[in-house]
Amino acid sequence: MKYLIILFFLSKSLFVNSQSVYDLDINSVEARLSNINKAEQIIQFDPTSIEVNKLLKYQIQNDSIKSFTFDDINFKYFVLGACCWQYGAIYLIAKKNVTREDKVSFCMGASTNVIVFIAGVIIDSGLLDNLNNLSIF
Amino acid sequence: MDLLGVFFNMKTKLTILLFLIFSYVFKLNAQHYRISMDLTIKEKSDSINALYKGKVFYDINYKQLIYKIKFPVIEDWVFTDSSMSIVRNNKIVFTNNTYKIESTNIFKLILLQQLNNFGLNKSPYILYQTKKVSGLTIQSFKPKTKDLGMIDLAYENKILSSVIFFKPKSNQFYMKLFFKDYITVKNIQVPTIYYQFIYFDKNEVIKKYQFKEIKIDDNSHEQDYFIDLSKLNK
Repeated sequence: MKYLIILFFLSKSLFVNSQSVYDLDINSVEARLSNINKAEQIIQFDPTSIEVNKLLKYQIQNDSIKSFTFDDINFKYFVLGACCWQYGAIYLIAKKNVTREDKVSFCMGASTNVIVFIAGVIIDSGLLDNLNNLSIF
Repeated sequence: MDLLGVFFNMKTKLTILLFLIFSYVFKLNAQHYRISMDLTIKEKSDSINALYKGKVFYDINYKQLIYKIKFPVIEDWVFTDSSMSIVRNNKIVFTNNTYKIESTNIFKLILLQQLNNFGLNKSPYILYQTKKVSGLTIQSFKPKTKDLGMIDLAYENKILSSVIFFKPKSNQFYMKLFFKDYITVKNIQVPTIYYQFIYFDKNEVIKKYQFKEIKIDDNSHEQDYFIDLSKLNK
């Protein structure tokens, strides 16, 4: 009886395996394609949306499609920006007499840093490369 | 009376012959030769989430499968029997000479009305087994040569639902195709959704093809069915 039960479960598992090869679990496949489906919805209204680049991990560069992680780029420029801001803050704290000029130059440096940060993200994401070729539906 | 009989016999034979000739000519004329449709490709793997939108054009006489991509970039993918090229702004930016599309060109199979047997009746494969698995009829095809793997076709209500490609001399599959939501265009059954699963080095690539606005034997976009690659700059 024990062997019969084992045999039953073995045959059942074999049957299930052979069945799964020919069957398609659409729900699980569509769940895996969910980010691409979201991107498809977005480009209907705004094909140049930065959100699409987040959802679709591709970049056109040197005539080949390369994958990239948007978050890595963000992090890189975030660290770079944070270091500059920290340096500026330490400089101000260390200086005894902070003049109006010091404050202005700090603000200008900070805003330049923000501009460089945004420009870096745009350049690295390859958006400028694709700008000429992107079509509007 | 005998002569009259012979005359009528000849007349009948001539009528049958003429009928056969006309029906043959009619059949030739009824052969569908080109197909076009709106296309969406969704590709998912560990490293890539990709989305492509555009149109696809195929003409049996030109033997070029052309994807006119509109998103993410405007470019044409041109498949011939021996090459795959990417064309941007009338310039070939990429060519791969090893790509072979004709043997698995589903658009050609659709036009020839051979998709239901995946064109295997005129191939180096022979049907060797038919079985039933949970409501599906499975036909297993064995290759005549040893360098090819087996192919299984699965049918649901006599309509092709999936194709499984096995590695040579192995029970491991390397590609699966699933055809869904058939519609009838000019008396031809055309799937509107087609999933492709490719397995290599323990990785899985999923491609979903969606077809809309399917047109067969449409003459309104004559220039889109052929690109003369020899006249383009590299």
